[in-house]
Amino acid sequence: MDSTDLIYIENLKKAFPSKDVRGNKTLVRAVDDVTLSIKRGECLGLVGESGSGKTTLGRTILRLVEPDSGKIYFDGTDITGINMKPYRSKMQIIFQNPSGSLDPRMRVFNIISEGIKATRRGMTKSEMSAAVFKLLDAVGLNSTDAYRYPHEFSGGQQQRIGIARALAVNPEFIVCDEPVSALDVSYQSQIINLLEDLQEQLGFTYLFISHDLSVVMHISDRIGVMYLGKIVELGSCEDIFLRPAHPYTKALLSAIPVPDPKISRQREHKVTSFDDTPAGIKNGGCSYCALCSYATAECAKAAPENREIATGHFCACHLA
Amino acid sequence: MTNTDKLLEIKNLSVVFPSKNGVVHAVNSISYDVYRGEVMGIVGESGSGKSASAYAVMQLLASPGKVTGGDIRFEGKDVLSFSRAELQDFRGSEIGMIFQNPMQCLDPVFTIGAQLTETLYAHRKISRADAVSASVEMLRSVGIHDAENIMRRYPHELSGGMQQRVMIAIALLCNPKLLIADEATTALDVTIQDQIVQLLKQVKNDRGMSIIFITHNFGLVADICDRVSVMYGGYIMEQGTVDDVFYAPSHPYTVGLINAIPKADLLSKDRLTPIYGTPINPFSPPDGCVFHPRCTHCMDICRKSKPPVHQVSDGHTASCWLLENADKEACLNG
Repeated sequence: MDSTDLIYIENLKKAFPSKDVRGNKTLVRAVDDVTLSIKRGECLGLVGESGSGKTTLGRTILRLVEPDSGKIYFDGTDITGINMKPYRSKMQIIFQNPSGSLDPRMRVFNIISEGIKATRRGMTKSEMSAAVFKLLDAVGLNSTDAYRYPHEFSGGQQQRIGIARALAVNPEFIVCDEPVSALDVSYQSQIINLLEDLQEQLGFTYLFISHDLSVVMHISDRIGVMYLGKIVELGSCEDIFLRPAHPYTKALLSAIPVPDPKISRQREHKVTSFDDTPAGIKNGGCSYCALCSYATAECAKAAPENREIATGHFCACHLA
Repeated sequence: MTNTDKLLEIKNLSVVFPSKNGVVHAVNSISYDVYRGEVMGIVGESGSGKSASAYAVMQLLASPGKVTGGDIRFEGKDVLSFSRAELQDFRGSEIGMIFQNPMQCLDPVFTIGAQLTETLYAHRKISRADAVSASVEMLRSVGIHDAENIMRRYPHELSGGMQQRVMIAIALLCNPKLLIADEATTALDVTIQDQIVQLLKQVKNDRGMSIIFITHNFGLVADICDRVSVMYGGYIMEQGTVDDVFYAPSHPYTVGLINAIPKADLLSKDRLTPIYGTPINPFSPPDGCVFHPRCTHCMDICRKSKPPVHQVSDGHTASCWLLENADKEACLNG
């Protein structure tokens, strides 16, 4: 941990009890020994497929989900096991499903002002209105929208309301949990641009979670690739895109559809032999070894350590 | 291409959904053909009518939706005049369909094997042993190696990618000439999506089948489609080969869609150019061109009347008033 880190997490673990097909109790290791730092003012992207634990990691950092073990530092302070109240206003989240995360019975004004009321007491009514209108303006909505209900808005506009709600308490750190995945293409770019503008103006630090590598690549400074609860590769966009070291990252990159027919035709698609992914990790080996085309005997026996293979470029693979 | 190469002809098809708040014109007089052995992409945002047009072909429109005009011909036969029994025969054996969410399409209380063989019993006189071996064979051909075992499993025991493979196997069992894939990969992870798309390409080539590939993802269009129709607000805005539409887009909406997604060079941090405004309200679509409230090149005429279909080049059409204007280059680039 150094002084430029706003968020630093150390050996964070979270497992959920579950049952396998035969009804035996098992543990799903959603976040499995993750150590990560997020620098002040940067946007760290987190990609991975569904079930890789990226959302759980985001929520655990905010302690919306309590970690089983490990430490979370915010601005140098250990926030595990303390009262989160003073920190709630500094750390916010934007959810994936905008309609599901806005209370249908509250007007937009109340949705946005709720956070302000909770954190800044003693505001007059007119100060409150001014604050809400300013937020609506910042996210590209009209002040008249304040008196409407969430269902009167389109998906993209609802996501703007969700962003305004997160901004209302002047946070320093925002977890963006798949903020554009549920939106149509023409809205996606509006929201991505908005998030980028807000970061530039207000200096936020983002953790940007998405399964869409092309979106993450666009907005992030650094990218972490998650697979079955572990961060298997971490590096700058250039590292991940031009010099991917982990076989899973390579598979992800080769699977992104390229919006260019000529490039698309030339592309070689790796024909992976397809079998169902083992959900749990059996013998303590590398969790990816069942699907990995480069796997050796060693991979099945020992889990690889996360190593720094170049400055700032980490990879957990025996072969990297 | 000659007329006999046309597998499916859709002419001036209109679909409406009456509701208590008014009538939604989901599809407005659209026309497209699907040739044998080709993949026709239909791309558009939610509510653009892309699925409704395909459901009309299968006569699967959910009530109260109905076809109010136009003509659907499959190998020259008028699909809209089919009787119930003819339709039953037509669906599944001539056209197969796969849907977005495989978990909702597979019956949770029957084994995979039962659901595969059921399709065969419905369409053919076939013995149990033959049906089982044909089903196992089909599962293998969609890349499920452990087919005998999978036949005995229930849908919830399979991952999303496996379920979608099973759906594809069911759709292909009766050897249809056309496969309609409605957002077939949208619910899947990107690595699984790629596998399914490659699988579809492979079965298309092996069987000389045609595919209508409905998606909102322009990247997938580039990968799998031969021709593409871009839909917005129930109208086809632009239609042409994939190369025409990607390298010479002629409609401002297509241009907008292409600029709104991150480029093939993922390291480019150039700002995305969004399409401003919001999609149309289905109960009160705008007058004139449906796209005009969001169009950066909107002219007076666009607000008043619908643009005609303009022939850009052979097989490439677009409906935009700019194309009727001699200065279209200046308009689109300026």
